[in-house]
Amino acid sequence: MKNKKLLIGFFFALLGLILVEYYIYINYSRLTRETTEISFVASGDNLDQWDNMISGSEAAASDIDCIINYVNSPIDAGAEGEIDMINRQISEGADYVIVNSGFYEQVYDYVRANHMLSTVSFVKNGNSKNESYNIQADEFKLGQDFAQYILEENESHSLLFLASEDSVNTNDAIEGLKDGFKDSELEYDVQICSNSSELLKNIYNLKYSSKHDGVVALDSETIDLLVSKKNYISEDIAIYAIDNRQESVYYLDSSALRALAYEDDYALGYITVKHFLEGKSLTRIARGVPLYYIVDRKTMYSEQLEKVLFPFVK
Amino acid sequence: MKKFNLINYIKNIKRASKRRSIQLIISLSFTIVSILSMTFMALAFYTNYINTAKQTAIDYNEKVIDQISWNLNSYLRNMMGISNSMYYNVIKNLDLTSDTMTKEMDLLYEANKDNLISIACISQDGALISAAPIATRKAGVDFTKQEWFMNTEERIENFHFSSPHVQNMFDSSNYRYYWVVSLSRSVELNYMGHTRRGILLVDMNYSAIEQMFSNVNEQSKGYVYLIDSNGEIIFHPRQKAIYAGLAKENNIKAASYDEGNYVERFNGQQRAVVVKTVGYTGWKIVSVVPMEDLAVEYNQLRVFMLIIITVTLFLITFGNFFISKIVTDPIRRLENSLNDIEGGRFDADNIYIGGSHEIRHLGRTIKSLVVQMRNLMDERVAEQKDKRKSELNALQAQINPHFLYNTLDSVVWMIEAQKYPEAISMITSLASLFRISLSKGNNIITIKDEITHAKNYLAIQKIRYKNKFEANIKVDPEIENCITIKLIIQPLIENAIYHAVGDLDDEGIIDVEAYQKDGDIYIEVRDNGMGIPPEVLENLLTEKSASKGKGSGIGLWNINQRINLYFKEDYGLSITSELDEGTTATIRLPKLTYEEYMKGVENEK
Repeated sequence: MKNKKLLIGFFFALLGLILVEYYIYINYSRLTRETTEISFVASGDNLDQWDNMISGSEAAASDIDCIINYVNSPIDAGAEGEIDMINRQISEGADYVIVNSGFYEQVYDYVRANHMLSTVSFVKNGNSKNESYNIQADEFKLGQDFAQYILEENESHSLLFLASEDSVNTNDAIEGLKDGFKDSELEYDVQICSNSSELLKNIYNLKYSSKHDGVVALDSETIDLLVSKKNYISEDIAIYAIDNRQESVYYLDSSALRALAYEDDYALGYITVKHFLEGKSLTRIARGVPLYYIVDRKTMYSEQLEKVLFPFVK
Repeated sequence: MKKFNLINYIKNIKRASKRRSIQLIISLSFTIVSILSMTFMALAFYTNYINTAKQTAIDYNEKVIDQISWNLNSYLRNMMGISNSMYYNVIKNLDLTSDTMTKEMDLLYEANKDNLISIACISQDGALISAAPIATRKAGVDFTKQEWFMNTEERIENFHFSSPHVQNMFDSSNYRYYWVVSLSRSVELNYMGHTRRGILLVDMNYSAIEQMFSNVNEQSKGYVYLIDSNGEIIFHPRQKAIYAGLAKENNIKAASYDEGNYVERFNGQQRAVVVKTVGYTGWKIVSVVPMEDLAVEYNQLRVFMLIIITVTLFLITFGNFFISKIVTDPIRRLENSLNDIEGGRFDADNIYIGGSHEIRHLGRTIKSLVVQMRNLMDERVAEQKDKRKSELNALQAQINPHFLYNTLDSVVWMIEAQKYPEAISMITSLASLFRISLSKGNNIITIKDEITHAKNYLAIQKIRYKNKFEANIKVDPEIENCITIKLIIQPLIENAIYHAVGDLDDEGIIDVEAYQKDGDIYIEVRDNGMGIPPEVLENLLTEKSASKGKGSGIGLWNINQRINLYFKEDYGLSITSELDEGTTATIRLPKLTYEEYMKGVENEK
C-alpha cells in the first residue's frame, strides 16, 4: 500500500518534472537570441544626411542581436509629426526610439511629460547638459575648442558668429565660442538670422563694413551661402564652419573653409545604440571617445581624420 | 491520513544518515555511482559532439577564407596584370619626348574601370606624365611626399601595395572622394634613348575589396578582416569604430600568426581564429568566430541533454530509493521486532518473517530463540511463583501456639469442671479446624469449607472469650461451591477478636458475609471495635509492616499476597475503618468453580 502511494507520487513528480522541462525546452532552446528593436526617427525629408550615423548605429547593432528601423519625419510635419512618429514606433513594438529632432524642445517636453524618457533618447540635437537622455557632442566645449584653435592660428581678429536659425545646439556653440574668446583681444559679433534674406544681407555686409576678417558659420545653410558668395565678399575673409556634411569637407579640401569643426556622427550613432543595449552607459563610453574634431586642410588627410571625414570606410 | 511534514522528513534523513541505514547506504552509493557514470558519459558525448561541430564550423570558415583569398589573389593579380600591361606593352615602347601614353592608359582604364580609380605615371621628380581618367592635379599636392611614392623609391624592384587611403591627388568635380589601395612600381621611361626612372601608379578601387569582404561577412559566422604584414587594418567590418576607439581588434597579435587555426582570448571573449596569407602583398585574411556564437546553435542540444539527464537522474534516484526500500524494508521490520524484544515484549507472533530467503530464515531463527527464551522465562517465573506461594502458605499454616495452648487449657478446665459436652464440642471444633487446615495439602478449597473453618474457629474463641462477642455468618448459597484460598477468613476473624471486640466492655459483634457482585465474590469481615487510625491503616497491607497494636501485621499482607499470586492483581484484600465505629476487611475473589480454576492453571502452563 505504502509502495503504491510512493509509485503514484513518483509518477506525478515525473509528470511535473517533464512539464517543467518541456516549458524550459520551449522557452530556452531557441536558436536565435532575443533581439532588441530600435527605431531611429530623424527629422528631415530624407535620411541621406544621416548615412554616417546610420552606419555607426548599424556597426554597433551588428555586435549584438538588434534590429534598427530608420524613419524620417518631414520638416513640414513639425514637432507633431515627430511625436506621431515616436508613438507609432512604440506602438509597433520598438523597444527604444532614438530621435534626431528638428524640434527638440517641444518633442522633449512631450516625451518627459508622458514619462517616455526610459524608452526615448535624443541624439545630436538637444541640450548637451542633459546627458542622461541626450546623446550628442558637447557643443559648448566644441565652441571653446574651436575658439582656442582660431586664437592659435592667429589669422583673425574680429569675427562674426553667423547662423541661419536659433537652436539649442547653435546657442550652446556660441556660448562656448564666447567663453573661449573671453580672455583674448579678439572681437566678435553674433548674428542669428530669422530668414534667408537676412542671412544674405549679413553676408553682403561683410564686404562693405570691413569690420570682420572672419566668420564662424554655425549651420549648413550659412556655410553653403557663405561659400557660394566667397568670391564676392572677399578672399581674405576666413570662413570657419561647424558642420558634418560631406559638402563642408569638400569646401575645406578646396580651401573655401579655413577650418571645420566636424562632429563624428558615426561615433554618435554607434554610442547611441550601445547606450540602449548596454544599460545606459553612455556617459562612460562617450568620455573616452572624441565626438568632434577641429580639422583644417593640413590635417584632414591624416591617418586618423581621413577615416572620420571620408565615411566610406565602415 | 498522516500529513507530510518536511521538517520531520529532513530530520529522518539526518537521523538515517547518522545511523547509516542500509537503505541510505545502498541508495546513496548506487545514486552516486550512477550519476558519476552518467555525467561522465554525457560530458564525453557532449564535448565530443561540440568539438566536432565547432571543428566543422572552423572548417567551413577555412573554406570561406580560401574562397575569399582566391578572389582577392585573383583581383590583385588582375591589378598587377594591368600594371604589367601598361608597363611592358606601352611605357617600354614609348619615347616620351615625342609620344604620349594617354590614349593607351585611357583604354586600359576604361576596360577595368569597375576595379580601378585611376592610373598614373609620375616622373622621379614628382611630375605627372600621364593619368587616366584625365584629371588635374590638386593644388598643393606633392607626389613625392606620398607614402606609395616613397615606398617605391625605397625598393624599386618590387610591387608595392599601400594601406587604404583617400585619393587626394586629383581635383574632383563633385563632392566624391574615393578610397583606394595604391599599387605602385618603379618603371623605366625612355627619353630619346635615355632612360629615366618613373613610377607607375594603379589606384585600385577599395570598394571592390570592401564588397568582397562584406559579402563574406554577411554569410559567414563571426567576421573576416584583412590586415597588412604590420597588422594595420585594410578592411574590417567595424573599421571606423576601431579607429574611433569605440571597438577593439586583436590585429597586431593576428599579424604574428602564421597560416592556420588558433584559439585566442581577446576582450574577455574566446574566439576561434583562422589566418590565411595573401600572396605578393603579405596581407593576412583573418576570420574570427567567437566561441559563444558557435555555442548558440547548441543551446537546443544543451537544453535537450539537460532534460534527458535530469529525467534520468530522477528515475535513477527514485529507482535506487525504491529498490533499496524493497530490499531493506524486511530488514527494518525485523529490526523493529528486535527492538520490541529489547524492550521486553517477548511476543513471538509479532516477529516479522518476510522478504528474501535469508531474511526469512533470520526471522524464523529469531522467533525460535524468542519462543525458547519465553518458555525458559515462564518456567522460571512459575517456579518463583510456586516458591513464593509455598512460603506464604507455610507462613499462614503456622498455628499460633498460644491459640493451641489456650484452647487445650480451656478443654482441660472443662473436663475438670465435668463440663464434658462443652469439652467435646470444643475438641470437635479444634479437630475440624485442623482437618480443614490440612485439606489434604490443597491450598484451594471451597468457600463452604473456608466458612466452616471460620465457624470452628469462632466456636473455639467464643468459648475462650466466654461469649464476650457475638458472631454472625451469612453466605450466599450460590457461591458456597466456588473456590477460595484456604485460611484467609480465619486470620481476619482472629484480628477482629484480638484487636477489636476482644477488649470491648460492651458486647462485640463480628459479622462475616460472603456474597457475589459483578461476577466476583466478596467476603467481608466486619467488627464494631475501636477502629484503626488512618496512619496505621495505610501501612497495614505493605510488606512486613508492623502495627502498633498487638501482632506483627504480617497476616494481612500475607493474605493479600497469596490472593495476588493465585489470581490476578485485580483481586486481593482491602481494609476500611472508622475510629469508634469499627473495621471492615473485604476479600475480593474471582467467581470460579474448582474445575474452572484447574482448567485455567492448565492453560497457563
